[in-house]
Amino acid sequence: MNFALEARGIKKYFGPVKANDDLDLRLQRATVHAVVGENGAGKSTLMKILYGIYQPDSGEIFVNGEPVTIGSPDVAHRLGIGMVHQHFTLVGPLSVTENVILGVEPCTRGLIDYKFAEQQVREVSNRYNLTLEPTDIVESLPVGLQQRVEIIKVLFREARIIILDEPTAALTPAETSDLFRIIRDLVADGRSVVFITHKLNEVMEIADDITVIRDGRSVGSLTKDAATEKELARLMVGRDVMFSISKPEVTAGEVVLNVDNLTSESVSGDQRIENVSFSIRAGEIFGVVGVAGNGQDALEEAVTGLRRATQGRIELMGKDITGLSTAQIRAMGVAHIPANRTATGLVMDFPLSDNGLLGHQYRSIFRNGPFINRKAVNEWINRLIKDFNIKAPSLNAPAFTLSGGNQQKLILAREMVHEPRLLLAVQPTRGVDIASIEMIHKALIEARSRGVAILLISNELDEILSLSDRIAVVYSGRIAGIGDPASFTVEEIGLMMAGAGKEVV
Amino acid sequence: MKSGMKQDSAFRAMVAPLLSVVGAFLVGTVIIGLLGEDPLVAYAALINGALGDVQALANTLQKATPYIFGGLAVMIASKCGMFNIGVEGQMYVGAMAAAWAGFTLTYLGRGAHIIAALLIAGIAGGIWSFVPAILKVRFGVNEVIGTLMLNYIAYSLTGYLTVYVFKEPGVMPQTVKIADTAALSLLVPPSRLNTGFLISIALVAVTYVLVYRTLWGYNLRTTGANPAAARYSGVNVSFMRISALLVSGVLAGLMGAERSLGVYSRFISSFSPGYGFTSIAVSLLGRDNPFGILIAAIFFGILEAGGPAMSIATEVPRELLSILQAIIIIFVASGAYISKMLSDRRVSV
Ligand SMILES: Nc1ncnc2c1ncn2[C@@H]1O[C@H](COP(=O)(O)OP(=O)(O)OP(=O)(O)O)[C@@H](O)[C@H]1O
Ligand SMILES: [Mg+2]
Repeated sequence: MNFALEARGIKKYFGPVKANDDLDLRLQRATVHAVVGENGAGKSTLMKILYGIYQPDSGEIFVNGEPVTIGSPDVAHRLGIGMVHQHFTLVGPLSVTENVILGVEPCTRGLIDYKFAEQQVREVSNRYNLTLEPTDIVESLPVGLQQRVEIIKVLFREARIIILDEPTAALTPAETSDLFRIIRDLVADGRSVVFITHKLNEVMEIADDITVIRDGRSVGSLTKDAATEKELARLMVGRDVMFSISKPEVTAGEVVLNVDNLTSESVSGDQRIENVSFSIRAGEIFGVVGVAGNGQDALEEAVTGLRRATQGRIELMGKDITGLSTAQIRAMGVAHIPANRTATGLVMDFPLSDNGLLGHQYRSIFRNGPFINRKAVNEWINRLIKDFNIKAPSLNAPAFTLSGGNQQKLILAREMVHEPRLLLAVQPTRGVDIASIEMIHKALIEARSRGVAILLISNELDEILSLSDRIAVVYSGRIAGIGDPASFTVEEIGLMMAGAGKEVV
Repeated sequence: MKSGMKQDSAFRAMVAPLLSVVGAFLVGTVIIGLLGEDPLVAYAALINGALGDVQALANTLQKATPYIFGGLAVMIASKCGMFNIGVEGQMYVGAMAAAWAGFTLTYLGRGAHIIAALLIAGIAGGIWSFVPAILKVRFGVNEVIGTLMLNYIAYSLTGYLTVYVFKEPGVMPQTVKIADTAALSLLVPPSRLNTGFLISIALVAVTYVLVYRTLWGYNLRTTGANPAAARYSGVNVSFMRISALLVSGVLAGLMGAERSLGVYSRFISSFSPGYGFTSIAVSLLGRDNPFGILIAAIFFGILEAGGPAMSIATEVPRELLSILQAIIIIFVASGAYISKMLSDRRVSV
């Protein structure tokens, strides 16, 4: 029996980093094959090799039993291999159709045939129920739909083997189940899917086979039926993983953040917040949950001075900070883990050391007058790397050479190590592995114990419920419910997220 | 290991510029061959004419000087993610302002006079780039358009001032001569190489420190590389854009001052063969690095200074060197793209 795709003994070193060190992968036809492993285990590297972006140092690849050399993504396309990257590669201001046909434009007499292209995009969209409008502008779409544009791109190039690198990391639970429906349709259509995720419940739900990678090696290859979440976690991490968090009793202190009847601007038509009021005390985690696009962005930006308030007040430690600049707010002890690490949290081309300084550059310890104190900065970065166990080639390595999870850890470390008064943590565990989630949750709880006030905004309901002392559900820019997490049932929260909740204050 | 990696990337940064230069000379060889001349003889004459003796060398550096100022000016804007194609105009107003100070503020003593003239030139250049900066930040006018438009105003304005206000009697469209107290002294007369060259060298080091060692430079580079991240970290992106264009304009103004105070001793209408535009190529060839720009500027100086010698020794017209410059620019521009592709491929192999 031959496989849709088989990789044997793949090795890929980046200097001293053994990203792939003798990896095997066997993808059966018309199945979903999950690849799991810790941040930096080498998953994306393997996928980039299968998609022709990197060349392996050694190893063999077979497509339908035939040995192949995948010299470039073009070759991959010809072999029927398509990939949706961990970070999207869409052109925001262009339409869905324009994005889909980029590089493979259907032409008649030298002109792009948009009518034909749109019709084809619509056809694919209908066939798999993707509900995409070919003329919509990509940047105006929610993340879940943007991802479908990526999927159409792959289908448009007639891929039979589809690689999805952490497709669910940025999705809401509802979007994830839609994606799973799409994946099932693709498989029913005879296509084979490689699926990377850090969420083991997703693996158990969608995968047929599973390959576990650790430190660049395959440490397990099993069928779904033979696997349990616990077992997978143990294989990935090399030890047992705690799935539950213990939260010590903390008596909340003074009010750190007080938001009073706040209404924000809307930026390029997104959902603003309207008449939002809440407060957070020292030693308290305040969780905000909602379907993406219900004002979370506006809240995040308003509190950090990135977006103007049109009404209401924001107070930090009793001082009015409404209208202050981001730099002033940061200087008062506000730290910020942003929702989108590649777009706002990091400068991908900058070395690690410059990225570690981001947001701290005005602090006097990192400066000698107008000059940057490199020595202090390097000491600081080394501390971040050590405290948060960041895997990085060197201080001079650009941020894009870090694996996704390690990029996230770098931001976390940068924002948490200096003891802020208020920590704004938005999707803090997006795209990080289970051991790191455990570590990040621990770090948040410890910060809480030390008296940091934490505003946690997350799409992960489990995360919100297990960490928060109080929660708020947002719907359509307003708070639909606020209170002790224990005072709501999951069903009630779900209803409030959908806009059908009762008003509880 | 760390230094190994650094060297490797420094090396890779130089590959594209070097290949462009070599490629351009190969094309030049073919052209010279087609003209029925011996390329080796022509190139030898070129090198000899540019570097053969002290006067030749001084002449080369004199020709390189505006490109050093100009390359740095382009670089500062580009580090902030902007394209200042108005260096030419900023240079013109700087040159006029310096000349004006040179023949007007004659009551100043020697040191003070030079410093005042340089200062005024810098301010004039700064004003000329401040206008498009404000247009960009306030009204969203693309800086490419804004800076370009102001070039035309600069030509016309300085031309008008020359012919109708400060004209020296005679046929030449030039202003009266500056006072001796405002002249930048010549380093190796009779060559017009002057202390302006030393100032440009100092500015190479100064801009390097400014961009890579200061808070302002960090914010500049962050704004250029990722404005959203800059905003997130507390940087006032509008302020950075304005100040970057301002610094860029000041450098361009000084570039003009060196010509007026050091080379012509007056302002000459339309004196520039496109210094400001060639500076864009210089900064490209120098990879937006101050030291790279210094090397690239001297290289362009060699081409310009050696050209006459080459066309005397052979039948090769000196225009060939303009062609070589143009080819280098094309190669570097495409080379930047190619080496980006290369480095995407083999990031850290
Ligand atoms: N271009 C590169 N240059 C240098 N090192 C790299 C490069 N790409 C990846 N690496 C390193 O290779 C290792 C594997 O990275 P990879 O992106 O494959 O991990 P991953 O399993 O996808 O992790 P994550 O779950 O965090 O996305 C990491 O240590 C990473 O820093
Ligand atoms: Mg990855």
